[in-house]
Amino acid sequence: MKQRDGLDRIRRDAHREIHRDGLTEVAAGVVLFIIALATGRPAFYWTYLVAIVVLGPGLTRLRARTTYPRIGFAELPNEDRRRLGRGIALWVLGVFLLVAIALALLGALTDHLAWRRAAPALAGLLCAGGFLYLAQRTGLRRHYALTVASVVSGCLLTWPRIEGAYANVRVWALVMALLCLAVGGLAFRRFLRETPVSEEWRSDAG
Amino acid sequence: MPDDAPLDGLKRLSELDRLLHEPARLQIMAHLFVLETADFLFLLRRTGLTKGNLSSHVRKLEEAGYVEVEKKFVDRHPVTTYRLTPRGREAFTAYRETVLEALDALGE
Repeated sequence: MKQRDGLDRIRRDAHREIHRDGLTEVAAGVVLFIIALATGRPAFYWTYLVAIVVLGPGLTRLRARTTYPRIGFAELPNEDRRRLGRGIALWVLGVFLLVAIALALLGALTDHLAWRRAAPALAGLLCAGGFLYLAQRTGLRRHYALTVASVVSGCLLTWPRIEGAYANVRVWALVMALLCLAVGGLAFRRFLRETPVSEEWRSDAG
Repeated sequence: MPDDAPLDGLKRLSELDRLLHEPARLQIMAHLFVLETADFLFLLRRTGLTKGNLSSHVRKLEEAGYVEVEKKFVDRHPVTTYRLTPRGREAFTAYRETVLEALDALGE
């Protein structure tokens, strides 16, 4: 049992090391910023495509220039797709169930406008699933903090009436984008300051 | 009737893979067991071994067919990555099971 705990610890430390640079949060911030920009605005839908095409390779390239020369390169094993898919489906189902129960208690379960107003809470809870997944893998406090922030900001932004199509969701996405960019940016700055480029990377001692 | 379990446990220890029964190599194997691949620098930082030590232990694991070495380019920089082979994965799993069984048999 202890040996299994030891391997889990090694796995968690490796995840933590790989995500220590804060670039995952920066990437999440960019995605959320695009959601804030494009939700309900067909003229900006192309930005989703740009994000899909550019973000992954861009992140890898940035890590290759800044992260790997400092901590080395490691690839985590691919998740079991069926298990991951089941987990995502359960989370989404749970979130919709939770919001449905809340609306039912308010007597607005079949009110289309009430569902629309609850959209920030829905988005916050759904996004929290991603942060929680990351937090459980890395054990980093900032990932747990983003999980809580996503839920709290989503629920809080359900109340105010903001004019415009999906305006509340867009404001929620903007708040979370700024938070992710700030948290990730600070973590990245600290990472660069505290972890110098290694001699081994320069010479590839292997 | 005497209880032979502790003696059996000790006997099982003699079946341990001697190549893995070395702290540095065990550390390398444990890290590669939970990762898909890792490069020299990552292993160096995670294990705390010296460059020379890591090189020589990885070479022994490679010679035994437990670890495979791959050269690739990351952003035009050559990187040497290591990965456990299926044989290495099996050997590490068997080692863990043997140690756990032996310690269980010895008891408190």
